[in-house]
Amino acid sequence: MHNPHTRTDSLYFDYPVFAFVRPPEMDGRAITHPVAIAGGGPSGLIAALELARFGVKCVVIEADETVSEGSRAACVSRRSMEILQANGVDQAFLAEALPWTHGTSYYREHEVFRLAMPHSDDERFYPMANLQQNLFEALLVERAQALGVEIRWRSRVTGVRQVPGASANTGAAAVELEVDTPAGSYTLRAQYVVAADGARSELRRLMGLKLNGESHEGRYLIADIQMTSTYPTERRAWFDPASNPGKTVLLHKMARDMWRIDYALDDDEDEEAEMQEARVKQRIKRHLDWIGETAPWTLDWVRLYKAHCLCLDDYRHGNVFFIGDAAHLVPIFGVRGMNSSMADANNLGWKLAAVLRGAAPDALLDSYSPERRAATVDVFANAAKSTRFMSPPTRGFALLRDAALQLAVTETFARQWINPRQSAPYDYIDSSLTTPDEDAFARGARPGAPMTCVKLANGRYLNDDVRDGFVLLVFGDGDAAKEFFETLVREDDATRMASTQGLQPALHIRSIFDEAAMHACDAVSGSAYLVRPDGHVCARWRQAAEDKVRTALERVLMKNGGIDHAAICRSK
Amino acid sequence: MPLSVEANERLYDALAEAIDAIGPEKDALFLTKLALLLANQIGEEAAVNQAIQKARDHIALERVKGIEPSS
Repeated sequence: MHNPHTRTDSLYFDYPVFAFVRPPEMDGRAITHPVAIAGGGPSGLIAALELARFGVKCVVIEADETVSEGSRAACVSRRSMEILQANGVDQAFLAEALPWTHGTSYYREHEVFRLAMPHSDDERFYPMANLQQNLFEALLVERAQALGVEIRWRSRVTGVRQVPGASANTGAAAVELEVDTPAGSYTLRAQYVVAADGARSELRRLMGLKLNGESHEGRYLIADIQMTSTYPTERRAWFDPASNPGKTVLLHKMARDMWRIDYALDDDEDEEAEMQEARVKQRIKRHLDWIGETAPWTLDWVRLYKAHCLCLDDYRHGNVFFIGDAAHLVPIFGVRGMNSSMADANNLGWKLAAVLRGAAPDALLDSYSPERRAATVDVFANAAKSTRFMSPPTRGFALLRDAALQLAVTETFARQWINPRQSAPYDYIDSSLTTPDEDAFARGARPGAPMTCVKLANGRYLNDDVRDGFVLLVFGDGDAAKEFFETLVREDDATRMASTQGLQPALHIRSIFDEAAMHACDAVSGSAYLVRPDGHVCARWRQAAEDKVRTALERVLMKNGGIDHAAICRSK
Repeated sequence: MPLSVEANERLYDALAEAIDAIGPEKDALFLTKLALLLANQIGEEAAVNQAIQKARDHIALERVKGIEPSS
């Protein structure tokens, strides 16, 4: 029997304890869930929210009885904020998160790089915002439960079996999971399973799948301390500081007066000895003393970390989809771990919903792996460079790194090598779902990229309302959009809309008559952007026409026979 | 013409990989040859001397505190 234990001794957070509830399967009820999600971390919970907002019921299987421990992934990117916005948790997140735009890198005591992430009034969200993962997960749990998502706590997956043609309601293939609980084990059946069970994914192991790639040199200690300091929220990085000679130290401010300090260990330092509380405190004190931080502080949590660039060769295996750390392990530098995990959930959610609700064939789900695996490969390329700079793996890279850092003290050109390469969204330009540009655009989100954000004259932002289905943004006065209502929303579609209320993803047609938006998107009257439910542009036209929109929709929903099943509705 | 960010990143990797391929016994000789080749391409004695002086100053950075940024 599976019986987890909860840690409750945090300085700033009361870990909630969730009870095991006996599932109906254990009383003999045969249920085929549309989707079961293994793992209630950020990727699993975002996947649950994505499914819920498109009207698909899912069940989350979580081995623990509480949220994750410590600050862990504490930094959320602007793109991830857009995903949170689509799922109605951005405001709750920002109520406690600390947004930031800047960072400073030091070589010893010299400032050698000033990080300034792009930010302007046209952005709804800051480039980065810090919130500890335990606080974040608690928000996600609350939201998921409010939306009726069933989270089965203290339930561990111990077996997985793909069953062709076993699904009770459709006759389609299904997946059976063996689930161990405090009350014994049972079999859970679902049409699709999302493996979001983290770096040490049990599903990955049970299915005999291997992560491939490379692991990097360097071990880092991550410690959370409570400290009331007036220093602003920004990223600080030290190379070769007197407090950790030859190595690095990172410092981030988080919510509730918590600070996170990461420092690299020397190759000859013993992990176990370094994890001892007295030793950790000594090293933190040495650094805080050296930077002149005088506020008193208390140690809360410590973890050892190593950088990996590892991923599965394919993120889809039958009806099981791997997302987040279960699919890929990403170095911490540049905050790409949880942010790319959230993008996985954002990508897979609407596709599962479209297939389960009959708007697209199962083949649409085949696009998940190539789109997100390409994003992982891109993440690896950037994160590997950041990691090589933080912990040079060879003499050559060490010489280059030290030369760059020392030159950067006086030479501006050398500072570019110190840029920490913060996470950026991935554009699905090579995806089979994306319709390449036929027309030349000077500005605006290219097909595959997340939709352009710009502040509108009415105080809202252009990409505020692009994620509740497929959205066709038609630029120009109402007349330009009216044509599309008349041609795309035919009578039979309108009738079907009434009978399939709530069928998502639907197509919404929105008229955008705003000077700043038209400029930012290089649009004229009659131009249009077609946006996927995950906020990525899938096609755009200088002069849109009904047949072009239809073809692009067929392409993105992989429907050769037309888009009749996609509910089309007029938006407010 | 200053190098682009992308070009600088590629050169950084290429140089590190070359040093690793050559090994610690010969890398000083390699870097000296590289410096002479680049000096020949620059073709201006004063500019090369200025770079030599700057590089020397930055070696001093390993021991002396407080080089003031020039910009």
